[in-house]
Amino acid sequence: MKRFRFAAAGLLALALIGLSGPAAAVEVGEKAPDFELISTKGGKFKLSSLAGKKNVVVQFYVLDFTPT
Amino acid sequence: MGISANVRFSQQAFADFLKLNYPLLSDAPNMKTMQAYGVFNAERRLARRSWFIVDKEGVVRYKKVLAPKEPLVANEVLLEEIRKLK
Amino acid sequence: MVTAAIPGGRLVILLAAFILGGAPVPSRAAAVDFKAIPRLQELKDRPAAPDFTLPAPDGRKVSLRNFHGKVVFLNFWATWCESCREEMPSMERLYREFRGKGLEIVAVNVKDKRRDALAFVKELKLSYPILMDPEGEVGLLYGAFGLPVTYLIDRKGIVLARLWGPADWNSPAARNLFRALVEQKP
Repeated sequence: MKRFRFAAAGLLALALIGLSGPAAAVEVGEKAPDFELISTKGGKFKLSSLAGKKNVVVQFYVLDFTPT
Repeated sequence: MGISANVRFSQQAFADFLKLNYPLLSDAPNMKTMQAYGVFNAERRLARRSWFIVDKEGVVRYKKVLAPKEPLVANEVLLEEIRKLK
Repeated sequence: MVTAAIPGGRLVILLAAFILGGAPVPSRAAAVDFKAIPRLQELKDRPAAPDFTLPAPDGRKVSLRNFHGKVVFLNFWATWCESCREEMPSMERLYREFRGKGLEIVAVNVKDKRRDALAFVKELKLSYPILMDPEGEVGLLYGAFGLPVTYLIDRKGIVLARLWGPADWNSPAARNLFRALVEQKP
C-alpha cells in the first residue's frame, strides 16, 4: 500500500512538472534570450546583433520539408 | 528567421527549395534555444511551432505557440503586431 | 594524315591525333559542367554530405562514408514514384559504364516495404546498391520530401550538386559530366 501511494505521488509530481513547462518559458514583456546559431546564410547569427536596429520575428518550426 | 532542430545541411536544402530570403538557424544538437524560449517538445526533441516578435530593445512583444490542429499565424497578423510597436 | 612543310614533325602528329578524335593534351581533365543536366543545382558552398547508416535489403548495415574514394550518385526513390521508375533505367546504364571507373550509385528507398522495393529492383533489373530507409529519417535529412532527389558527391564525401526531380542520366551530356567527375584528381 505504502509503495503504491509513493508511486502515485511521484506520478502527480511529474504531471505537475509537465503542466507548468520548463522553467525558462519566455513571456511578453520579458527580455528575449540571446542566441548564436549556425545560419543558412553563412556563418553564425546572433540575435543581439540586431539590437537597436530592427524588430525581429523569431519563428520556431518543427521540421524541414513539412508544413509546420 | 526560422529555427528548428534540423542540421544545417537539410535546412540549406529547405531554404534553397523555398528560395527563402530569411535565414534558417539550426538549434542542433543541444536544442538550447528552443528550451530557453519554452518551445521545446522534449518527447520528439523538436521545436513547437511558434512565433516571437522581439523589439529593438530586445524585449518580447508578441508570443504565439501553436496548439495542435491550429492554423498557422498569418503574415498579416505578424505585420499588424509589428506596426503596433511603432 | 596531314603533312605540313613546317619545321618539326610535331604539328603533323598533333593534327593526326585530333582528326582521329583524341584530345591532343591528355594532362588536363575534362571540365565538370553541371548544366549538362537540366535543373541540376551546383552547391557552390560544397557542404560535406552528412553520414548515415542504413540496411541493405539483406540486412547488412551500410554507411555513406564506406563509399569514400568513389564518386557517389546518391538517389532517393520509392516504388510509387513514377518519375523514379522512368529515370532508373538510365541510372542503370550509367552505372554499367562508369562502375569500373569509380562511380557508385547508392539508391535509398524511402518508406516502402522491403518486398515491394525488391520486386521493383528485380523488375527493372537494377544492379546498383539499394539501401532501405523505412522511417524516412535519412530522406528527411536529404530533403527527399518529393521524389526522386539526387545528390552528386565527390570522392572525399563533398556534395557537388543536387537535383530535385528525374533526369536522363545516360544522355551524352550526362555521360560527359560523369566522365569528368570520375577523372577529377582526388
